[in-house]
Amino acid sequence: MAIALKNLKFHLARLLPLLLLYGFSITTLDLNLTGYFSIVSFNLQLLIIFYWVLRNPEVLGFGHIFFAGILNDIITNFPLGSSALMYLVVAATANYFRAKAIRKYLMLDWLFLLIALVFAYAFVLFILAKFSSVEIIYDQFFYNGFFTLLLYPIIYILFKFYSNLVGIRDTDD
Amino acid sequence: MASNRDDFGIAIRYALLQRGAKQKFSIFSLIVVAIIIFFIDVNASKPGQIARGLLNDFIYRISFVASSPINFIDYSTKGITNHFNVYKENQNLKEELASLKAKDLNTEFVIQENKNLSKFVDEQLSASQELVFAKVILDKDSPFIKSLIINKGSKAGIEKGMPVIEKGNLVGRVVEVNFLSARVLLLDDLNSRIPVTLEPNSAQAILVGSGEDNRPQLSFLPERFEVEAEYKVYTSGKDGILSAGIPIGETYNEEGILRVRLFSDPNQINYISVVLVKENPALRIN
Repeated sequence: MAIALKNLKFHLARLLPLLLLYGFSITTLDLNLTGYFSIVSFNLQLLIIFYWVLRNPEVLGFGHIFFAGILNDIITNFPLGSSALMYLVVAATANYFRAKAIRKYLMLDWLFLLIALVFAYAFVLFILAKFSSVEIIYDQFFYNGFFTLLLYPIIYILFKFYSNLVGIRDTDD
Repeated sequence: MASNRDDFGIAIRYALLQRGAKQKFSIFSLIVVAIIIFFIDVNASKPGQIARGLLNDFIYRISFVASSPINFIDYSTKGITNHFNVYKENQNLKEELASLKAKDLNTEFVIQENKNLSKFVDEQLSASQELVFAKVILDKDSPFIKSLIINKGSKAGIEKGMPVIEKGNLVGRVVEVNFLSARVLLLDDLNSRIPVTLEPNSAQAILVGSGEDNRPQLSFLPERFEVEAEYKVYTSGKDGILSAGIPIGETYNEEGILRVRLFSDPNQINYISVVLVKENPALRIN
């Protein structure tokens, strides 16, 4: 009974990153400070995806990452699939670094994230500019990416603490 | 060298194709699906638009329910803050009242302004004009788009392009209509363009969203236009969709750019009214 309860707690605790991913995608929940400073906004979904795919992709699941992107597109009125593509490019880049990097620590993660964000934003901006009628505010995308990158150490510390707390281990296959 | 290339190839294959023990899909297959969905959506046919509308309705409702705890906390916080601000607000109002009483109101200016407005108003926004009252169900603060989702759609007679007002002031126009919901593009969105008239001198301009909160600006102003003065901004109705004379805001000068302080703060809107007017081609100026 005690083991079953412990397992249940572990599985519920493991769901938190996924719930956060869906929460930021589908609800009005955000940490944007555009009301105070017009340029400060974050894409927290990208940080959640990057951190967990780099450490343990099973926590989120690629199907959920795709689906969260589709939901986000509906809520923010972007062409369907554009956020999903951005999330998947970040996931693919994180998965690539996961295969290549032997050790993972904050500074290396941060460098990988910079590369992942450059790929993701460049890819999505290219297809939006080339194939859709969405008017793109390049400055806003740049600031969004920049502040997202800046926020990573905080997210890293929080998730690291959470992983240790609930016992989610990194997987290396 | 060849070994490096092999390593790179293996890592790429691993990143894109490897599914792991519990993954049902590879990233590559999902990227392909996302690209297909993207192209279907940007080139949407009529059935595609209907399907997207139904999907939007469904997801907006789910999002509304999922956001209710957050909205409740937000609403409660604002309520408490307002409660503590009542005393200060009362003092400010008293000061404002005294200052207004002391001011010699230039009635002639108001009469002239009224005359000027009457000249170009072809159709007044009146109580007889049909309005649909709607609740804002989603207001996601996004740096890329300034819009609201309301709980009324084509079922209530709402169509694309219809003006949206709050307490008699224009806040935006409808840009997406689903059966049970609609999206309102706010005046401060980058894609927003509204033909306006400035009083008291009846100058014509276009109100352009800047993509920043509550800071739209005026473009296509007449040559040698005096930007220092303060003007009241109304819709001109020259697009053939919006009725003329709907109040929008007041101008202010910011480093030579004439911006508009909106009468209705887009961040504080809970209920709005959609004016059920159809495009009148006779009013459109090409």
